[in-house]
Amino acid sequence: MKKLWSLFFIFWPIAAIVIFAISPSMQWWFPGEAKSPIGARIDDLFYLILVLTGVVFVGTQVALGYVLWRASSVKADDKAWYTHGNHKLELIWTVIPALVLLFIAFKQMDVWAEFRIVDRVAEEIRNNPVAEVTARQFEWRMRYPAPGKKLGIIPAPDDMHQVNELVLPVGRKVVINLRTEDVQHSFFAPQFRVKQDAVPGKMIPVWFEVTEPGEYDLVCAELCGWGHYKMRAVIRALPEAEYQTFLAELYEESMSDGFVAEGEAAAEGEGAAAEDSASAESEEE
Amino acid sequence: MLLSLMLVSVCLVGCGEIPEMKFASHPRVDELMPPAQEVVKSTIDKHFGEPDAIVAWSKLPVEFGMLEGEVTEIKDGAKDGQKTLTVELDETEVDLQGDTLEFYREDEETGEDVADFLRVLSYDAESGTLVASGENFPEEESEIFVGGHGLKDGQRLYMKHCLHCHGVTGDGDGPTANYLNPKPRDFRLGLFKYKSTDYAEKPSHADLMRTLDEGIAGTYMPSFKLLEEDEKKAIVEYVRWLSMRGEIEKRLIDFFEAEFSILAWEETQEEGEEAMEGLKLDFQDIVVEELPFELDAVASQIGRKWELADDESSLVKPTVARVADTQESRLRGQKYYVSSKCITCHGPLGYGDGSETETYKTDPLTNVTYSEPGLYDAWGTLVKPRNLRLGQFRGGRRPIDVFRRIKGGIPGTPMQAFSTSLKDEEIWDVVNYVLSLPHSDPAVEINQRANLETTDTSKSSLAGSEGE
Repeated sequence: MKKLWSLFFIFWPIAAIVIFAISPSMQWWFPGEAKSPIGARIDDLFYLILVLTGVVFVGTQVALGYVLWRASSVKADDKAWYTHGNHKLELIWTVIPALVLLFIAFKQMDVWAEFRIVDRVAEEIRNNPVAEVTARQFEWRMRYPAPGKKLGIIPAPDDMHQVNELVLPVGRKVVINLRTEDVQHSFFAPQFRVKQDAVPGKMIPVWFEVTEPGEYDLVCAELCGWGHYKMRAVIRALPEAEYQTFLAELYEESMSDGFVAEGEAAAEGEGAAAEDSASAESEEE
Repeated sequence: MLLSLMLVSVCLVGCGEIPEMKFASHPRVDELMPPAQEVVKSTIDKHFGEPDAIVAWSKLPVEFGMLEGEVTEIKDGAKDGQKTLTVELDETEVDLQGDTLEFYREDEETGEDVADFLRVLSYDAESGTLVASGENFPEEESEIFVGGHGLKDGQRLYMKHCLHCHGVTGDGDGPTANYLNPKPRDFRLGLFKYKSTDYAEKPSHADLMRTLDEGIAGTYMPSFKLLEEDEKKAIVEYVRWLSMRGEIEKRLIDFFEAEFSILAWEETQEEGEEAMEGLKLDFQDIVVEELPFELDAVASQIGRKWELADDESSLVKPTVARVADTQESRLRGQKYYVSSKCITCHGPLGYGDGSETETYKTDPLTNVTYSEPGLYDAWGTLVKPRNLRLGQFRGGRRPIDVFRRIKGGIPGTPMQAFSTSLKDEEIWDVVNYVLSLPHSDPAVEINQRANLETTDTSKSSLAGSEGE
């Protein structure tokens, strides 16, 4: 029975190692590699801490198992051996973790700064947010500036709007302004490892760079009400040229007057033909 | 041991029987005399069924996945009320279990053909035989329609995503509805606010899809853009069917209401036994002789309207391109805003605080004056005219959307269609004015108006809204 307990405690570090080893292939791990530079750095930090804590966990568990194993064969009338008050031991297990913690604290500072200190973003990028993302129960509403315009804090008449779909260019750092219309939400793009709370009354800039074109998830990571689970959107990352085309198309669509010149209408309508292609698609939907 | 027992019991709390889902009758049914209530309920039940056993009625333009075919042989089934039918259908590789089989039979009393339905209990595609249950069965070689599986997906998705607000019946009274303002839409009147079709028309498939995609800003209707395209289509189909169910029910109530209300019933009861017999006989006559035709006519009419909504001709489209969005155009728009009485609801500055919001209205159905002043919609709820300065556009913010709101109106609300009172160019001017409101400073506007009045009288025809 006494041996059983030592086996029980030895079992856990082995189980942990096995689970960690198989989890990437079982899809229990991250949703793929980070698709943003900041995400890659956050992953590096994660793995560093995982290795540190993993070594400590395995070490302490093995030590615990060993002590229990040895103690199981000790006879009842043997005298106990106390380590309490051992100055040297206490010094070691205080100073080493302190050094490790200090190391982590300094190591992560630059990643944190890159992620959160606004000065790290070039002024040019900072002053030209690509979109304003407004969370509300239970959807995401995006506002883009018209092509060639700057995104104002107050909506402009030619702003373009989208729901539950955020389109971004790849290969350059972009800033989005995050707001909420009602309660607290959280902007979470798991593939980029970017997460930021949206706080009522605040406009919070969030920046990151998407490295690969594709479709990514945007979900709410702050329990915001009964429909929290359905508050998801898609982030479509496009190469620069396609992104510009998308903006131009969205502009045409949002300015659509639904007018289709046909036959005689085209003959006498002034400038109608020019509007034709712009408005045709709105009728098709 | 005790601990694990406790854990298990905690996990089971709340896991009772799932309550049976039922379509609710419209509350107005209770205003009919009891036999009429029964007839309306049974007629609706026969042609629409219950959530777990819906009826595919071929009369309605809904994608039930309807198969057409013929009965070639009928044998008695294992139980009473069941028969085994050998059928020839135009498609065989479909799971028909739970579907309805529709056929026409001669009514004993009237001699007219009436639709009747059987429930398909099982279907064997290879031998082409199906076991069906019901009261009446078709004759051999009669034409049949089998369907219903086409709505299954839509129903499942509706139950998952829509039911908690819009309710099982589509009456806008789901469990969360109590906590929402504005209220979720009750589909049963067959009225939909934001659509691209003419005022009196139904919304097209594309309109309902757009509402699912974009949501309705400023309300609790979120966007369902990330659902798969066919999932959204399935939901739209189910919503259309629910709306048809509700509207046909409403029309049947209307049909009986005049002569066979609960009031008439109670009054006749006081008159005595003989009068009561007379009323019952009258009612029987109507049910036998007129109801089948009325139902047929109502279903055809409503079905046709839903079909027509997808027709190009129902679309509200401008005959001229948008008038250039200039200051002059906006000022003209402002003039029409006043002269077309937009101002009485939406207010002099577009804040949605027009004089109509202060007047007491009467309910057109009951002629009772509402206790709260303001405007009411067809569902009997107090509605606020839109505050045009918020920059929130429920039916979409593209110029064409705002154009359609003005030209086609918003059914079910006091927002009428301006297709006859304003020309398209004039509507565009109003669109330009309305779209400029969220971005302009009302103080500046007031000053501008004052300046125009005092200094520039020659241009007052252009800008003079105050003078009219």
